[in-house]
Amino acid sequence: MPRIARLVAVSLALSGATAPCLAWAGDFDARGVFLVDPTAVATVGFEPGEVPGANVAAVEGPLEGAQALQLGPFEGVDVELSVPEGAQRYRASAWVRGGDVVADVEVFAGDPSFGMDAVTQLFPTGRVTSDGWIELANEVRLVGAPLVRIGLFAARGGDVDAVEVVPVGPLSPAELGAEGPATRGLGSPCDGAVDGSGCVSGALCVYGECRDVSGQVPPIPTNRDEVAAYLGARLDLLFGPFINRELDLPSANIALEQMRQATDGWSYWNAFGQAVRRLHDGHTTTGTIGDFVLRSERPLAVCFLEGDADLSHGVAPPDPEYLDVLVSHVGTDRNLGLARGDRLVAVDGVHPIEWARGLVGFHWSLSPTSNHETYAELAEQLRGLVARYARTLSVVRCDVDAGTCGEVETLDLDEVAPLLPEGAPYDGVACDNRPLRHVPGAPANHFDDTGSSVFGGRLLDTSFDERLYGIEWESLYTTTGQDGVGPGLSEAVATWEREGARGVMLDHRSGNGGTLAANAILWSYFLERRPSDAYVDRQRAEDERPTLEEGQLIFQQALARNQVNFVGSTSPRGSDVKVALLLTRDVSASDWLPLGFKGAPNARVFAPFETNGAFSTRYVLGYWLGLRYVLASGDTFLASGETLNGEGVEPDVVVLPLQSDLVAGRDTVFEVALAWLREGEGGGGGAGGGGGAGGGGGSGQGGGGGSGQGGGGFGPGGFGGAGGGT
Amino acid sequence: MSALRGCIAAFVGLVGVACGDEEVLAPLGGGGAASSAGSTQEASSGVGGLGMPDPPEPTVREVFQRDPFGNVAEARNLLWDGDFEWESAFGDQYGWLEKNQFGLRQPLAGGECRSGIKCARLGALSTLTGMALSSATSPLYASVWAKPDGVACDEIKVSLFTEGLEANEPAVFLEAPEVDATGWCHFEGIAAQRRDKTYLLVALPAPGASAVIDDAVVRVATAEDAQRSFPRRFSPPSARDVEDVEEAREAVRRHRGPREGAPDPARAAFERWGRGEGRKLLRPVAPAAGGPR
Repeated sequence: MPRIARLVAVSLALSGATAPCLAWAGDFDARGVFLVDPTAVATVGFEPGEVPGANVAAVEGPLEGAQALQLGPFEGVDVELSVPEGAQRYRASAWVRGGDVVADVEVFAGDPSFGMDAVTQLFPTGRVTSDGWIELANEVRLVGAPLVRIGLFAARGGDVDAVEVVPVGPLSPAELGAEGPATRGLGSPCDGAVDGSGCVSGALCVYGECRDVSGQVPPIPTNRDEVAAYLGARLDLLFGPFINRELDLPSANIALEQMRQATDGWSYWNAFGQAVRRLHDGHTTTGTIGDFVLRSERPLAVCFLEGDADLSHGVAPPDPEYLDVLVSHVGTDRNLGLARGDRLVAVDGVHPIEWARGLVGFHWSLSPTSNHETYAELAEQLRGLVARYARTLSVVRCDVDAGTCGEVETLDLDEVAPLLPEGAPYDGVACDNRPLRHVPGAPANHFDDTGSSVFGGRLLDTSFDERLYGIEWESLYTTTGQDGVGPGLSEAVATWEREGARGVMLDHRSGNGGTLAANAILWSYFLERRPSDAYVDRQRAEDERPTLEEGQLIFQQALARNQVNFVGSTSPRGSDVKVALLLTRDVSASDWLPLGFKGAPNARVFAPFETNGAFSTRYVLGYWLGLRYVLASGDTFLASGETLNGEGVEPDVVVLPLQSDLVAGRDTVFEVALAWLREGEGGGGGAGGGGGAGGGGGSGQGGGGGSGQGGGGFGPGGFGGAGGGT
Repeated sequence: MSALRGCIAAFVGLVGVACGDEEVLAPLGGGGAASSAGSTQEASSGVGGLGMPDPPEPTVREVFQRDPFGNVAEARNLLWDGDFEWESAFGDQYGWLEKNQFGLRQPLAGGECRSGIKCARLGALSTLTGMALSSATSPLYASVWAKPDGVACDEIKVSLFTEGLEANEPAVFLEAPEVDATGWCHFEGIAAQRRDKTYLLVALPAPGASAVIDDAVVRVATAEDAQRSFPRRFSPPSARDVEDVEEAREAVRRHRGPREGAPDPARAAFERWGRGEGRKLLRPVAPAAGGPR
């Protein structure tokens, strides 16, 4: 392209003239021919012989040169680039055609097989062409001599052309941490993210290092106030749950105000993300590309859950606000030497749940809860969060044989060995709030590889004559009954019926939600048909929480229009079968599951606390795959007129995992439920179970040990009327 | 004038191209970098020595500057995503249904769209249903743009219907005058205040045709809207039009309620890509460094 150089002077002049707006690099001549920026330090045009192995072709209308890269649906490639050593700000760009093509700049400070150190997604700048090309770009800050790759992924297939990396200028002393209030520059070590990492603007303390996160979001839009107003209105207009609108929308609006003061892209977009997260709803989430491509260099194979550290309150008293956090189960390595029943007292000196709540300000994939009382989501997510954002853990280890625990000790997470190069396996473990498995075939590492498995059969350690069965499963997704978990649940029901089950344990302690069609398979077997509730999508822009009388009318209208959710069947075949539903962490259809069972004479819900309370559904809004937010779209009404979203289903039997049980290899919640299933049983006698955890056959959980755990009893209770509380 | 418009105006001023008012449209072809291009062409072309001017080289493409977030000026748009800018291959539950299923079958991106970066192509015999809200206090104004291919404006059927707990109000059909100079039909209209949730339906009952759909707005009607006269339909909706509305209404009823966890092959593939699985590493032969090739 010999003419390019003669044109770029004007091109640059134009670029400079619009510097406060969307600066651009390569430009077009009068005929629309693309002109590569001569100052680029790296360019890729996918011309003949330029990139061996690339699927390039002489596509119709390449943006530049004669060829472009072609990506098939779901195809991804990396293109390695070399950029000069230094501390520079660059503008990286690529032109794509064909839809959602993701382009990112992946930075590796060391051996790339250990994973990337930072990622910058390229977002649309607004420049598009009449032949379908779209410019994606973003700023990238590089320090030192990192390896740089352009990652490309096409969800639906597409073309890529004219990749450029153009220097914008040197990083400022403030960005390097040489001056200003934040003294830790990009790449500097840091001491954890929550309590002020001291990292420079646009950086977070992630995996012990100040990492650039500014590229995970677009730059501040030139019409920033209009965009902020539009996005703010999405929350105000569309977010459906009434209680959360009342309680949480004001907090979200405060976060939205920060968009107006933001001075960099991260602050601007993170203010919006934080506003969404502050809506405090189980369906309402945010995400960035970082969730997909940044992985822990030091993953932990330790799972936590909330409970009662009855063995160790002497060395570390319970927190007045939060439950104790205990080790549920561990993998065989990468476990810090922790074992089931050990206690996580603090993370970077703060109670683990309080520490995790502090991440709402910047962690886009924080698991949300609709109610304002419980934190099972955070406890389950802890092992990933501490690996990412923490430096130290304060723990108490307990002795299995002695049944006692030691003093509080502090572990440095640097003690966890870095991962071996990519591909080297380690013994991972999934966190599902189940300290132990109790049905045949349930995998010891707790992984559900298909996402729709239903593990079931006669409960382990029970006798044949007891005829006690159980299932352990996470998903409730099926649309026809023939997809997702439908076949697995139907098969389980058939087994219970065929083999004359007297009692069934539904272990759904990690409930990922799904559809009410999956719930119906279980409800129909156990429950008499009755109207339960009515989900209503948000109807009007001005709607706020209705009065009870208005809510009753809404329910009656829904009933009249056949829009009420009925549970059960007219002749349930399992109506005389006792059913114990075990819960800990749940969302959506997994909230509805216990709602259906509440009040049934042969059913009891066993859980540490109320459910999530996410009685809605949601719509997903994604910007070029990487940046996304999800909003709950409605609320659910009971016949009483109450709205449900924001208040979970209370358990019939409040039961917290006890440290003393866990240390002894017992699963408290399971044992208490099993004892109830065995109540009134004539034969069998039971094999094994019953020891600990309420002693088997008692009502409610024995002990308590200062955790505030109430007796509760085994009565079914009405909705919202659990015995005891936490 | 917004910052973006100011920006574009500055750019356009430099290159001598008129700038659209509402939506930023700044075709550079024939204008963008015109002064430099002109001089360069003079310098680099010409049929040596004949004294004849070169025939003008054909335009390769036009370049437009769009707002990458679409029509955000309609901040109070009651549609979940009226401009399609937040449409994603991952969206298992998105604010539009096509053929009564969540998501778009043929999302488009680029200069073909009217505003922003993204839009939708509606195929023959198909429908698009946009999720919106009603207003408890006011009539609604609705607007959507369609660029037909193979049909006239009036063969695209745009309506507002309701579905909810109250008696359903009859659907209101929006009309568009003739196609404009850029090939787009602009459907506009007002619907009376309603109690149930509102949906915007765009249907293309004609076989062998298609249309690009973009920049849909449903908002509380203003006093100015009330004073305007919009094109009105003089013939009643056809049986097919009514059937399309009823099918869409049935679909939104069917899709109500929770449905998380649907298999999402695009997301699964992206997650694999994110984990580094199946990525092909490409290394340019001449290191892609040190300036343009």
